[in-house]
Amino acid sequence: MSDKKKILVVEDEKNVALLIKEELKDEGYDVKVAYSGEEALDILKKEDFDAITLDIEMPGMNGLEVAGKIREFKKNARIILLSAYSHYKSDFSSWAADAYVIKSSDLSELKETLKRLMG
Amino acid sequence: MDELLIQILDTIKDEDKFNRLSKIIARTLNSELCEFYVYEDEKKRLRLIGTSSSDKSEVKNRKLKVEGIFEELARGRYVEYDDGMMVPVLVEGELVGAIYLKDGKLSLEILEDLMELSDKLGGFIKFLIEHDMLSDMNAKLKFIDGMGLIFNKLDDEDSMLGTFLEMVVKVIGAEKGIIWRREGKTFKISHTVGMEVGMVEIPELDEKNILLSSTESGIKIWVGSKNVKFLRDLLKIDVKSAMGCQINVAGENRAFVLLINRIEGPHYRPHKHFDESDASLLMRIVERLSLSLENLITRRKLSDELRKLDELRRRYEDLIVSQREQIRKLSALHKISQAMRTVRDMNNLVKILLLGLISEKGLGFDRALFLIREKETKLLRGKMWFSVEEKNLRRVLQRSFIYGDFARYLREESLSLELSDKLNRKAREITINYMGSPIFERVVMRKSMIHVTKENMENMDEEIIELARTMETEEFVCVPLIGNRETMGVLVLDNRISGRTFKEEDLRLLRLIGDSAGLSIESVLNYMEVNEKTIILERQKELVERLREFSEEILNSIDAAIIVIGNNRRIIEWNKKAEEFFGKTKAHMLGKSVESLGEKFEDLLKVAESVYDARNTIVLNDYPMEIFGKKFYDVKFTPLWNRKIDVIEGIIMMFEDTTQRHALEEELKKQEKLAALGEVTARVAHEIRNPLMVIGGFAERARKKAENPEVQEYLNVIKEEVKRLEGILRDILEYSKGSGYLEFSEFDLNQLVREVLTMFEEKIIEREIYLELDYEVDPLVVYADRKRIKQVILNLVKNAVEATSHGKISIRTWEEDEYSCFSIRNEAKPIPDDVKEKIFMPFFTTKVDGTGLGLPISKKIMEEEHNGKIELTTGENWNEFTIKIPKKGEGE
Repeated sequence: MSDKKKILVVEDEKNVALLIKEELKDEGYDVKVAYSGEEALDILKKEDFDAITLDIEMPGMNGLEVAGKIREFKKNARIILLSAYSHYKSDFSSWAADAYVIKSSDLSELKETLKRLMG
Repeated sequence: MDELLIQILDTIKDEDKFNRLSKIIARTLNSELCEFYVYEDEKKRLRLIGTSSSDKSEVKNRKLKVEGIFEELARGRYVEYDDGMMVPVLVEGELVGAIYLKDGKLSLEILEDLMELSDKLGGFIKFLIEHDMLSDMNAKLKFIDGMGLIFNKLDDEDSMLGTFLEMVVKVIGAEKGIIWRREGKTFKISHTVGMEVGMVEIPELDEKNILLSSTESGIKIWVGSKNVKFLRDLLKIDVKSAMGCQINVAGENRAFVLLINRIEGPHYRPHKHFDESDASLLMRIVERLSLSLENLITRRKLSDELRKLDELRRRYEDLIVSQREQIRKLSALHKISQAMRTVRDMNNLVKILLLGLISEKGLGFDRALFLIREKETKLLRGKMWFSVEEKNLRRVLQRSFIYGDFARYLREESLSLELSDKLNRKAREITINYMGSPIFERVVMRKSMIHVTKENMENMDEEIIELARTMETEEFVCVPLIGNRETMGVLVLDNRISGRTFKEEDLRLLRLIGDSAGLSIESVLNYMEVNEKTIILERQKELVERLREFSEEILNSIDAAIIVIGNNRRIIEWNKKAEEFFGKTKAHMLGKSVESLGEKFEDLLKVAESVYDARNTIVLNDYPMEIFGKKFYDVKFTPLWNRKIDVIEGIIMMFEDTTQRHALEEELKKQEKLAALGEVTARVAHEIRNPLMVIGGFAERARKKAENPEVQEYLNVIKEEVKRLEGILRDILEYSKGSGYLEFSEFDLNQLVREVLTMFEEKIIEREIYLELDYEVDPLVVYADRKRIKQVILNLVKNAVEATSHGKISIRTWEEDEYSCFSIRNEAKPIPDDVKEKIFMPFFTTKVDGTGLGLPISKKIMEEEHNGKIELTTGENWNEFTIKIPKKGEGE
């Protein structure tokens, strides 16, 4: 059993998912990708992760809804919301998450947030 | 001899002592028979009280007939008989009795012994006799003492007298007993003992009857045939002796007791008939009885008084309760009147009136029907009908307790009150021709209130009975609503559901409300009439008169240009605004022909002409004119009427400058377009963000992996440019969406609180929560995001309600320094300090359900979004949350 921290990346856009996956792997994480909220929930029912990144704008269930659902059965899951907008920060439903990061080609904020949450 | 004395002394306790004494003597002296006599000095006779034989009648009769034996015996000599001798018993030379011995052969020796014995026994025998009488008397006295207790246990005079008679007959030893009881001036038989009912007829006695009058000073004993004759005649029975006594209670003669014929008892008595000792016994018993009777009467009087007092008190208390209720109703009535006075709408007014009449906080009737009077058709027409049973109304009625002020409750609830279709359809079907009904005519024309009951229904006319049938009620009150001079309508009230009857106080209150409501209705009708007239005035003829009356100043102060054109097509009025708008003075324009207005007015003048045909006002909106730059006007053409001959004398043209409004509208349209554009921009920008992120991200990754420094440099350029693009995108997105979603506006915080409370109404009732509201400033206008503040208050109220049961929740709003505040306090176990610290942190909750986000969100809204405060304070048995919203200009 590896002692790497496991992270689930939930992102509908393949290339964005690939970028995040590669970047986090480089940071030494064990990364798995789910391409929709529904898929993420299926995976989470079978497997535990140290942290979950959630894209808000997804077809089907959006990130906020997924976060709410995850909380229903994993109260202590670490959830990071990713979004192009900053204004979701003021949406109450985003409070179900532990952190909120604005999407950017510079992924350092995401990495720091992950470190902080799991440190 | 000594032995004999000892034996004799022993008999003292014996009931049958004299017989035993005789037996002892007979045995000792070997005599065949010994008899023992007592000397009764009064009657000069010897009476047998003891014998050694079992048969005593035979000897007794024989001995006493001998002449002169008392003298012999008194001298201390014995008397000889054929078969024996009588030996005297003397005490200090006085004869007290004698002993008879039957024996022919009595020796002198024995005789001497006997004489000696009698000498020695004398004092002792006398003692024995007296002891016997005394012990009998003693027993009787003891009995009398106990009698008081028995009497006191009885609680009516009749059974007391009955018991008394039975006891007195038994104790004294009478054959018969009668009690007459006083009833007014006569004495009637109340009790008898020893007399067979029906056998003898005992007469009633007049209060002056000799039997009564002779006993006035105490007890009277009748002995001897002469004395008892009148009793024999009166009672028609055999009377040997009798004893009578009046029974007085508190100095009043209440009854009379008569005892007839003495019966022999086991004890010795010197008299055969009633004697002084019997009298004193009777006296004592009667005294006891009197005392007990007096007690009884006093007791009864006392309890009577107490009962009266109690009743008085109860009546007094009832009075206070009903007075208090009356005062409450009077104040409710005042509130109803107050609420009615503030409205200018007939429908609302009637709703307030009816709601007030059936509300428990109001007058509390079950149903109230309003009929309006139509003077022209002489009809009363049903308008509205309220019933406490109505579903919609029930909710509204329950809400009355949320309001502190009943008048405000009526005002506010009546506005949103929806009427039940069923009842009001029924109400509207009611029409009554009041001139065709004597009763309704009395109500409407003579302003009388009518109280219809089950009992007086048959005296009513057909219309009343028909109304009762429609309403399915048996008792109701018709109240005329009286204006200044006339009846405006009629209220019909009943208590069909509870079945309560109308009391005098109810009717008084209704008379008051009839006056007050009538005046309010009249004032609303007047208002409506004036309003209507004003509208007509503005539109038509009256404007001419008003125009004429208007001074220059008024006309000029109007914020519109007014030009009046006469029938001769000349200008007859030109106000100050017209001078301003069109740049020409009044002096210059008055009397000029319309042509002088110039070609810019050409179209307008055509419209003005058409008013003559339309005979009505014509309005052009946002009409553009270029005089000093391009401007827009609302132009109103109103015919100038001559009322008397019903002819249009000219046209009033009114110009209102709407340029600014027009510009605003245009601006708004532009903004809407821009907003739509922003929406598109935002969407495009968002779509670009992901690819940009991918390009930039991978460029950076490629740069890290590239070995060629030139390639590294190129990739760095790509990365930098992507970053720049991302910056531009962020600005576009933030701009188009604005920062956050906050929408600040001015609103009444109290109204918001009321709105929130309405949502919890059922819960509050269900959990039996007592709600205390204190709006210190009302209305309390704040400047904030209404939705967000509502979210906070909703959250706090929800928490308080869920944490309270059978308790009190106090809500307060007030102003202090630079804040407008709201606090909610509920009675509960105070929140402990360690919890208090964490209560505003996300996901911290002590509740089983709930996300634990309510308070953190509230904190965020208050502190981050409104720059305000949220605080928790606790007390001995309460928790209180307070929010403080900065006043406008303080928070930003």
